[in-house]
Amino acid sequence: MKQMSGFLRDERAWVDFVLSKTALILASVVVITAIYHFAVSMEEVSHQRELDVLSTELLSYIDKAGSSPDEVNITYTFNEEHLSHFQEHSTDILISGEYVVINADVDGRSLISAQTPAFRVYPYPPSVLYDDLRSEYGSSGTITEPIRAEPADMIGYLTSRTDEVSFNASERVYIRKTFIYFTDDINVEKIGYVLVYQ
Amino acid sequence: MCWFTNDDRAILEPQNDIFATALLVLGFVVFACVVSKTYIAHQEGAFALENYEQASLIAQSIAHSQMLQGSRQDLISAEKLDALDGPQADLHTLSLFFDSFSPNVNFQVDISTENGEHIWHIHKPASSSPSMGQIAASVPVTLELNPMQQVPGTLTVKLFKDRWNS
Repeated sequence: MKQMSGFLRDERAWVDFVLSKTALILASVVVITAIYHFAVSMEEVSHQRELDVLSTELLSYIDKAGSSPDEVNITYTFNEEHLSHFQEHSTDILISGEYVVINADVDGRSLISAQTPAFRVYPYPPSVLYDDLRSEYGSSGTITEPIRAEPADMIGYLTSRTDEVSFNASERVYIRKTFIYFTDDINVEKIGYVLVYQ
Repeated sequence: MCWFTNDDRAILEPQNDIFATALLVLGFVVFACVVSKTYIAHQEGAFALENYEQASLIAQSIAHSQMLQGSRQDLISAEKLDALDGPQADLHTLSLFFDSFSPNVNFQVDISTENGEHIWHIHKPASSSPSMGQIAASVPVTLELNPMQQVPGTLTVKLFKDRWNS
């Protein structure tokens, strides 16, 4: 009881001091942690933007080739300045019939940038396309050897043959707009395809 | 105010550091909010610009498409547009028209003469118009209404994006 009385009469305010400083330390820890996470997330955003720039640039070359009314050949080389940020990390470039995906592993976190081309893409060289069509339809689909099939069947067949193809960022990418010709013995129609290969 | 400044009791004095820390936290939260708002606005701008380029390339591709070509390479045939427009559209031709484009890209094409007298809408067969955001790009074209009449017009591609806010 005497101790309690002493405690109540103690006017040195050390409890006030301890509580105040503890709150201050806790608040400082929270603020410093928040600033650190903010800085880390800003760095991650910066890496994501660089990855997006890479995939958008490749996509715009594919779309430019696809929009051409004639057959065109374009050679694309990945921008070394943007690529240099990812050289110490593993970077995968995957192209399928539907997506262009660039995947980088930065400090254990996987960053992905995926874009959709506006035109039909076949991620193989012309020889593979012609061989595939010849093996299925007996014709290569060129203007001299048009295919006798429904376009939807041929598109379905090529889609089923298309896997994700991995590309090497340090090598050139060849982008080629080509046409596959069809005939029903009266008319000849054509469908544009963008071939992307190394 | 005078009363407040002449008050010498120093009630707030021991908690000065707490107020300073609270102000710092508040400042940081406001800063983070401003930065994230700016980043979101920048992302939306970049997204719109990037998709505008895609819509523009699709529009150019269609403007030069042999499927719509009139008597000359730079003309778009109204007769061929009639075959692709409306419920009477020829499904085979319509399907062939969209076959060159990726099935993941959803768009519609609006073509009109400059005076608005003739308008054609070309939709993907069996597609529903999504309520997501859209980007439109236009190119000027010359429409061949008949062998004797050619009029200026506009070809507009409206690109619907499912990933608008992604």
